[in-house]
Amino acid sequence: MINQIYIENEIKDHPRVQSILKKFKRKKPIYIDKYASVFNKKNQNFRIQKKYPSLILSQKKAGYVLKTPADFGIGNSHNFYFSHMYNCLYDCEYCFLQGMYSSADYVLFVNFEDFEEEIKEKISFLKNEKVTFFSGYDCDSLAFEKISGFVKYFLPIFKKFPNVDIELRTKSTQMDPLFSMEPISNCVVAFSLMPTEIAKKVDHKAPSIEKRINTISELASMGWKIGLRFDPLIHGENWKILYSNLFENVFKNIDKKVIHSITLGPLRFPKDMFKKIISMNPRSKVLSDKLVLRGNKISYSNGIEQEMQSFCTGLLKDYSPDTLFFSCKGNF
Amino acid sequence: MVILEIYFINELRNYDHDKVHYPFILPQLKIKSAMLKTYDKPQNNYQNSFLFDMESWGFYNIIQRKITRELIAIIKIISDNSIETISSISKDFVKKLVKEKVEYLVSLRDIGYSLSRIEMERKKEPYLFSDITKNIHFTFSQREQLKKFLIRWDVHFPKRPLFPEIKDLKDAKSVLGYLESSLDSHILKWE
Repeated sequence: MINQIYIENEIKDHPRVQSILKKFKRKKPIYIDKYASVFNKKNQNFRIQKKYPSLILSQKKAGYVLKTPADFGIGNSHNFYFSHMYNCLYDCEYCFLQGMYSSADYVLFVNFEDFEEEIKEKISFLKNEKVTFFSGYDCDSLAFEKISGFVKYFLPIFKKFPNVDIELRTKSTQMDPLFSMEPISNCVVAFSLMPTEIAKKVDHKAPSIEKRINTISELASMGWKIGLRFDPLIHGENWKILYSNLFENVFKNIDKKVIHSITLGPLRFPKDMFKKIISMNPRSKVLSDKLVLRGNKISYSNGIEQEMQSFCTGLLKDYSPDTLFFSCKGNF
Repeated sequence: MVILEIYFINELRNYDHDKVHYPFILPQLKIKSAMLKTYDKPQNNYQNSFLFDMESWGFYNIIQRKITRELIAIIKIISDNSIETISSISKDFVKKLVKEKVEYLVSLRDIGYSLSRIEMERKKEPYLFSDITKNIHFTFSQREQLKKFLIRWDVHFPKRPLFPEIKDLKDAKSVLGYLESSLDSHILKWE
């Protein structure tokens, strides 16, 4: 799974690094000055690296917590995201990370304590305000948990601030830290979902939709709050039937009381990022569909986008109240 | 370092400039890895912690400007050490060193080939592109558009031969128009 491990010299004795190395006893790490000596350099090939990714252990120096784009949120007035890792174990054809970095290697920032400090600063500055922190923007929140211990570290911190929400965005079914703890009322475990038939073709290396739904069902039965993220909505023959089946399947397996929020988002890419992504994967079915340039974004035509959004919203209203719905238009 | 031992270079340093490259590590390597420093003069201060030579930095530094990093590898066979110094190297000795490792080097080459196939697949000319542009004149931008349409055609209609559908079209505009309207009226099948 991991081709090579690189470690920044400055953190070679960091306890988290030592603990991660114990999980890769056969790997002889290479020590580097900074992660950028390996990651995201010119003339790297994302597709080849995706097949043989390396793990780079690093420490982030600044920008631990960032504001989300304006229309990104699930009801609270202040929204931030933080990324303890760049890149993802999965290989989804529509993923923007392919266009963001020229490397597919995983960069794991081990200085969780610095993230924690900045999170606490934001919470303290915005006390009495409704705030959501999102994790899972530049990586999957849980897929690398066995190595990173990210959720195990951060959830107890957020537990101390019940007025602040934390969203863990994931496609993973590795839920060990969540299965072994009591549900935390301000944590939303948000799963990305799409019809099985589409996921089979585009969500490479990710758990099947059936497995994801089973995991959601287990978490829900324990009382964890669940976020349903139908983002991106993907078009194709019989899409109405495919999405109707998906929604039916999801809601017959989940207790509606634990659904915290539902978001719908269109397939969209910033123009320049799309160019990079399709040049890396020119034979992708979803990227080869009739996508058009609208302003600075590449997406389906306005007609298709609107039809999908309103059809899916209409169906979902049969299962859930309006107050749980949020849309993410993704204007760049 | 033992004479005849073979090493994969995982860190390449230019001694004079203190610059560094980290070559991509080929998968399924079954040999030792080491750091290598390139000097501009022969060295006899043999170290156990790294190898040295006089050419790898120059080779890598130039070639990485043209080729993706994942397709470049440096492999060294130890020819001299503190016991058997550089003066003992002859042409025949070098031949012998390489000959003993050829089988392994060929297996590494095959790993390299399998990686380069990923890149070749990505960059390969779309099917029918040469045939179409041989008979009909396309401007540069039309050629680029044609490539994109042909790839999309291949993705959406893998079993639908294109040639019979366009064989009577006489100019670039008609071919591109036909491809565009066929592709845009097609709805992706996921099932």
